[in-house]
Amino acid sequence: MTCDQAREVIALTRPGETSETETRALTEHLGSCALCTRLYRDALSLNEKIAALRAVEPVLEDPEGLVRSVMQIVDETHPAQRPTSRGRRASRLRGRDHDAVAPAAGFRTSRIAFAVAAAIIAVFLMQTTMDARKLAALELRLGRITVGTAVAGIVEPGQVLELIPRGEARDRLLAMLRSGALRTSLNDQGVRAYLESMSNAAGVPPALSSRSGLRLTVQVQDQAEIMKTIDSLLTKGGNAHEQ
Amino acid sequence: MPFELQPDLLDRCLRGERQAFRQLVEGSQRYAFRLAFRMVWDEDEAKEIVQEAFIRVWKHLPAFDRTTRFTTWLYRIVVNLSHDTLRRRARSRDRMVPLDDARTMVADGEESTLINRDLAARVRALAEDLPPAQRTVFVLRDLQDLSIEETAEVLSMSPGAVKANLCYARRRIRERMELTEHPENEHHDV
Repeated sequence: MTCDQAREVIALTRPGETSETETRALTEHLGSCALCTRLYRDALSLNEKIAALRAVEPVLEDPEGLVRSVMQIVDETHPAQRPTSRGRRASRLRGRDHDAVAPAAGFRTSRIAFAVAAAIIAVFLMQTTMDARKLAALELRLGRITVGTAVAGIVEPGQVLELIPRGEARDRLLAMLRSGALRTSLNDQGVRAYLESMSNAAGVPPALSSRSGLRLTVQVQDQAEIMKTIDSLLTKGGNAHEQ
Repeated sequence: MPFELQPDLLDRCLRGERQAFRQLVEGSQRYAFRLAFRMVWDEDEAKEIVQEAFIRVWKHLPAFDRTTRFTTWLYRIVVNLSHDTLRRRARSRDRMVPLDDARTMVADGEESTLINRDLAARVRALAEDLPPAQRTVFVLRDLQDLSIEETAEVLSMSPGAVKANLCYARRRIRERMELTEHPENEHHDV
């Protein structure tokens, strides 16, 4: 085995992945090449560290909730895609198919309605900057708030503050809406009805996907009011929202 | 690939059986989530990616090439959606402030959240600076434990390209690890 061949094996394989022939050839080469031996030891050390990282698996909380949300969106958004022509013929032959997905009437209308709502939100964009630390503090009370994508922080003019209410966060948001602590650029009644419908439905909101067109977008319209609310929550030790 | 499909599950999904599709989601969502999380290091975004991936699976299942393994296809969708997420994040980064400080303050104390947060920080510390192709190859090969050939199939790359990207990725990761362990060795430009 040449140095180049040995280094490719060293760089790309993990212990136990090499064939018997490769292992023998590599061992033989390492016996006569100090540099490749050093590279081999480095690679072993790196492999150990990566293996330790691989061993920690991300934890999916509430897997059943994710399944439910997928199935709900599938029911609502893509019923027309199923079944295939072959499946449809089979269904007709069977007369009925309890498992087949039925079209969800009115979905298109609701998507248009939300698109219009989104357009309305754009008109009422907040024209001021929210302090990042206060927004972070609000997150402690409401749960996760994202602006755009994974990062959140300063809400600049022209941005929409998106609240993705789930679980406890949804309940808190609902409570704030009821008490008038949070106002939205949407018709408050409409937002309330939407949140109520989510809180009545056991489990996950109708859609969490940003691509589904159903993500609720709420705009904090009154800067002074929301800051006052945050200050109030902070001074009351974080329990005020649960009163 | 870790998830094995029942032989007739895809056929049943194609016939429009919701229960079959539910089984498909239940059986493969954890693997999809692990990949998405390791790609974007964020639990909520990873969940959204997985959700969107399954919606795409449902939508495009009739066009799915059955000579490809389902898991390869699913992984490919998850990787593409993860790249979209990372691109969106990069676009918005210049006008937003990361909430890292706030996240460390969150005191919900749930074990899984802590595990995820710690893992995200560790993977991010190693792989954040890698170019997308190298990072993706590293995640698929070294963290998801796919073979070179499986990684190549998911990414529609040649095995040679996978190997090259993996070599570069590992070299940079080793350098990052050394710097983390021996910060005194960091080179500073004067």
